[in-house]
Amino acid sequence: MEAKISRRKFLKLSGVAAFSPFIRLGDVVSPRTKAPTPTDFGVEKRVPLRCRMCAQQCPAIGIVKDGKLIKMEANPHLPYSGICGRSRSTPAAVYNPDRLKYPLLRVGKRGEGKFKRISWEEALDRIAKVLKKYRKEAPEKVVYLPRFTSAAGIDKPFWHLYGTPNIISYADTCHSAGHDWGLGGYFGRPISPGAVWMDYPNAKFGVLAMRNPGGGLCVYQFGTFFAEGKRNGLRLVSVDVRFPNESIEGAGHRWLPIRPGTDPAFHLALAHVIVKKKGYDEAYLIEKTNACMLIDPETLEPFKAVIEEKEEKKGDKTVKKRTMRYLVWDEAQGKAVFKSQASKPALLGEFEIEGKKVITAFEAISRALERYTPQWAEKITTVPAKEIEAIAEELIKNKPQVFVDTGWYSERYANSLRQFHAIGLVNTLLGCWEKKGGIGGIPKVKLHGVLPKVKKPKRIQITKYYQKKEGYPFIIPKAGRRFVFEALRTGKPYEPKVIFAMGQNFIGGSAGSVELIKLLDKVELIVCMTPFMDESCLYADIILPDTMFPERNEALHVKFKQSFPTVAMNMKAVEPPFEARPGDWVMVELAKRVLFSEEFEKYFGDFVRGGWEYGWRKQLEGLDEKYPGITLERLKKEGVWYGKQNYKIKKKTLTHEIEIFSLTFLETYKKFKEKGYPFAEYANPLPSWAPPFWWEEKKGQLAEDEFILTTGFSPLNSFTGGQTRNNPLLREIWDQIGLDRLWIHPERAQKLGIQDGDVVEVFPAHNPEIRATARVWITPLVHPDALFTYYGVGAGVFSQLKKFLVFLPEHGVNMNHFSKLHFAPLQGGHATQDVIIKIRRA
Amino acid sequence: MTRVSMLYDMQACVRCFACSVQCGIENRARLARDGRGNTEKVLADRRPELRYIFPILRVGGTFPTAMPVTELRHCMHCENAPCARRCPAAAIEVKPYGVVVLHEEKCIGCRACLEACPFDVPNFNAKFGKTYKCFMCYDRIEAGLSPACVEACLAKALYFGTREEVLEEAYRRAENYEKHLGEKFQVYGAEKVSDATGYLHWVTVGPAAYLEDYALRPGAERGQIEALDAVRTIGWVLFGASAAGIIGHFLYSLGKEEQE
Amino acid sequence: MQEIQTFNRFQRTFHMHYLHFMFVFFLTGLPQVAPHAFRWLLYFFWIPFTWFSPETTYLSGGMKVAMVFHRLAGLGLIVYAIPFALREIKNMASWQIWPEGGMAEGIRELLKHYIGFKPANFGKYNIGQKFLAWTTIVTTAIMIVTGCILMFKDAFEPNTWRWARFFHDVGFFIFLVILPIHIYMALHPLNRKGYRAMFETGTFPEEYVKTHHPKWWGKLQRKL
Repeated sequence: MEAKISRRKFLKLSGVAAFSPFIRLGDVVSPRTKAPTPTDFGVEKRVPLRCRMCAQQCPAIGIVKDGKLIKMEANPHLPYSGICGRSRSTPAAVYNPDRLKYPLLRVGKRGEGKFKRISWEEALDRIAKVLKKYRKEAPEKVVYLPRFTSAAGIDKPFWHLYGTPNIISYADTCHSAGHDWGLGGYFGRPISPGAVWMDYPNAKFGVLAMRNPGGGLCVYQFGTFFAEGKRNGLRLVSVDVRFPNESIEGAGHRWLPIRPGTDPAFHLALAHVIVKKKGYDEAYLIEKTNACMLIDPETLEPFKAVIEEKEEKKGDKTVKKRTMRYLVWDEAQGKAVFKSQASKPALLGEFEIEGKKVITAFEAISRALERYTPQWAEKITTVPAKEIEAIAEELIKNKPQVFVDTGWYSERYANSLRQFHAIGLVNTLLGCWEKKGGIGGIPKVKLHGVLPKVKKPKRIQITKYYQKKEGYPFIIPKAGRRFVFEALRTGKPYEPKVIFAMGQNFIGGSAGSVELIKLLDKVELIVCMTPFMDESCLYADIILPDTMFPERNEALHVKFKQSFPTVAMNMKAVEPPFEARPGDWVMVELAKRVLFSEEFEKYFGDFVRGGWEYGWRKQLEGLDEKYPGITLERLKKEGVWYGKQNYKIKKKTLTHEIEIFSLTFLETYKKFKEKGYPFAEYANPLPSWAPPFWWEEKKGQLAEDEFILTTGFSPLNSFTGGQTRNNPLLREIWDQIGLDRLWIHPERAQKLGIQDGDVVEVFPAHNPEIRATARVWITPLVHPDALFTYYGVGAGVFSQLKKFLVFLPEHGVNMNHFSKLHFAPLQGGHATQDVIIKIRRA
Repeated sequence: MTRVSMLYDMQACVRCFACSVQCGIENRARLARDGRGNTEKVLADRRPELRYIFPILRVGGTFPTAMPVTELRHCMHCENAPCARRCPAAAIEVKPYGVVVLHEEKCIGCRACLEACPFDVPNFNAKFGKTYKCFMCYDRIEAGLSPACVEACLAKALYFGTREEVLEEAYRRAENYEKHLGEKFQVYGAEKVSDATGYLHWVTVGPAAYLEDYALRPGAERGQIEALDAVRTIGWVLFGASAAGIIGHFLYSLGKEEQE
Repeated sequence: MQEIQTFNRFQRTFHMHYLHFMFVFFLTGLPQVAPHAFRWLLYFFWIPFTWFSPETTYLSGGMKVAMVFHRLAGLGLIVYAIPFALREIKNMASWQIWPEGGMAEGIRELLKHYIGFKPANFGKYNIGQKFLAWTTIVTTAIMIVTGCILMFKDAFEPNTWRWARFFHDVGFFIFLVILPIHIYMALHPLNRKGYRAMFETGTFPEEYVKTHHPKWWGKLQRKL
């Protein structure tokens, strides 16, 4: 056979072959990975940041190389430092192709998602025009909705100057106010998740109920504390609708599945057992609480208590201090005296004073607890009675180095106020407040404002109106965004006309999204400022592209989930992309256009001229005595300042004690009972059970295709923010562990003919038209009555979002879309999970 | 030379997977550093194999006593590295300080390492035709830093140091857990796990009861791996014997004629 | 003299191809099975290749080329082996590799011929050759099956790969042991006629069959 080969080629090949032994036969290419050299690290800039991948602002360090953010690391200058996986995926969010790039003007109908690009000039002028109009007529009709705002320190003064009191947070969709006042009753002030910390490292045993410190991960400091607790051998019991593996995977822990929305019954039964076994800290109750207070058994009024008023000097101000002095039964003297005069106050008992029957507050509490037996609780919660007893035993044995975790995301059901009241009761009985190994108080740092202080305008604040006039006495006025939509629905106190959402996703984040959007027709102007498209942006008239946190300087921040006071810096690390601008710039530009020039000069002049250098120094002015070592130089170099650890929890009760019998509650209870109010029982200062809405509706019995859809936080996602749910790096892991799946119990799935991996349609029973798809995970790790899905995965009902966010999973539901525009009684929380949900194969 | 080691503590871990995210980020930073793409490009590319440490979820039991076990899969950096023995391209180097490094540029994608690994560690990416696995951030170690996942771990569940330091820490933790939780804890990998692997430079502290669910089988034995090693030894011995036989017969045959 | 057909055309060409393929298998397979000892072979595969693809190393480039040839040879073997196997199975009646007489007798005769250098009472094949034939058939099957698994890894689980690799190696070592013996024997003066039959004429002289393969001669006579 003849090979057709040219002579030339032949010579070439044979030449090569002949000389082959002399050709260098080592590696032709140099190795692809090389060790980093000191110059590699030398050219990296390390910039102090506060992470904003979730709302907690953990101090972090941004690593910048050649003008790009390439990595995030924990700030090493803190004793409990760390950042989570979301934070570490920040570069994938900063350089995400789906970032909003330019100001956008709506061209289609609201919700269609049709926008055109406009200039910042035009956007700001349009907004200013409307704002100027309303400033003349009714500035309170402009509502500002901030969320870990890039305009902190600048926005609030501006809006107050403008004349609106309606700067409203979204805490009503999280912990306001079932958690805040349920626990707050004991302290006479709202106790938010940012008010107390669990001493995980020193505790021996803890109960996590509707709480997952690993899933609802806030690294600084709850998360790192929790991890230290685990390292120290802390034992935990988790009472949860699903197995929270982030917290209790491992040895020594237990999962007790609980029927959704029935938590108050569990805690009441715990309290019942503790009281029955006399396992409470008697000395603590007598000394530190108003347990011995003598009250009328019928009216619950304190018997012959007096209120004293004293004037006290606080700094350079004089304040009026009111104190209630109450009677106790002194067993030593055999009569009723004021507490300060008693040597042996009775904790329990019924007594007769001047022919009147009186009991101690604790006696009333004990009697109220009598019917809340573990057997009673088992029927409601499905948690076995003997488990409840075992937990109570364990708590009693190890007190005060125990806790029932005070929780975080409370506003899931109507009865959250009673749930957290019961949690507060158990912790009070165990005497673990302010104790090592128990629960400490989060210390506050106070810095000055960046701008001169502006008083809050005296106009009616929407939330305050509902608090005072519409039967929601436990609303915390600064938090209650959904009442803005209630105002739109009822017209009371007035219809808001402008919504400026600075980072809040008021549609996607609020229970009743679909009902809510119908009310927006009455709003003249909706502006959304955010780095990524979301549900609210779809309904906005103007969208402004916000920077992400590494792209701007910000005011110093002091609110962390901390056990010692902390101040942290966020400095600009990289340039913002395209035309993204930070919130503080937007506020200044609006201020320029909307305020009178004298106002502008007075409040903004110095800041405009001096920038953040000026702003930071202003915040720290004269505070180095109060907070030794707090200098701008240190904050720029190390990113943080911190002080000493604190256990004290401030009380604002009338008795200046922990009110195990809350006088705040009593006041409201009296008033509402008088008015014949249907939910008056919610304000009962004594322990009392209240069912969730769904329980009332279904008499506690769900049909075969009915579920309660529950959610929880994943340490790899955060709310509905595009920075995490549209993050390619996080999405890779989601796919690996099925983070977007809908969990369903095997028996329930079988009855519905659903198999693992099936795509199902999910919809609320009250409105089957609202549908979204989800992929199912059949697992024994969820209560049969519940469906579980991590919060905020997927576009849910708003499938138009997939156009703008290409890294969203194909299927995934958001509870809020299905829920109702209803409110938890007395406190206004969004009770998002408190609706019946159905599923069927798609 | 002092050997280094890593520790993973199952009891402290909060399953946040920051380690996995950071590994992916660190490898992307390496790509950019080595001129193989700019920051935007490497972040947008889907490269799941670049997360050398990643979770695998298993669930055991039935409701209500069911339990998940999240296996964090990563290279164990075996003392005797079967993968290094088997790699036909000599792409796997065992560093003097114990770290087993798979050099990407030398890999030919044959997956002999995957066959050889009793822990199913190496990850093959068909698009690039190469296999990847954890190399304990040896470039960071040589620059005086700890591996990226250790820096990332907010629970201090991942720990790095000299082998002495790590074993001391591992045993201390195991003892502490046993004391507080009343369950037996094991330090998997501190001692030899099997003949094929030797001891491991990445040890795991966990409840002895779950370690098997965690795919840390007591002997880490894969019969086929040991058998293959045996075959390759025995085979050459037999070849040697038969070659000797041939030479013997040849010499014997010299000068001999066939008889009719 | 009369010639008696020993190997037909198909058998001889198949043997030739198999021989060539085996050559390729060994050259390309040795670097995989014993990389540290045989890596130097890869230079020969890499050097011509690097002219087209200079960014490789002798290991990665050479190994890839070697594997391509290994698999091509494997495919070639399958293409040839299937029709060959079918034809042989059809003619199973005339197979001469079945046992004829006891093991002790077979070994005695074998030693008589190869140690004693005397003609022995063989059939068409002696016991050693029969052993080789069966071993080759079985091992070829093993190599083809395991080779396919290893070539199409993605269709199987890693556990399957491990078994495939184990048996592929076992097969390799079997060939590594028996083939040198087979080749030595093929070239040995005692078997000159056999060499002629396989590589030249395909036949034995009649006299030779009578004297050196009497059992076979007997069968042939009985058939006539």
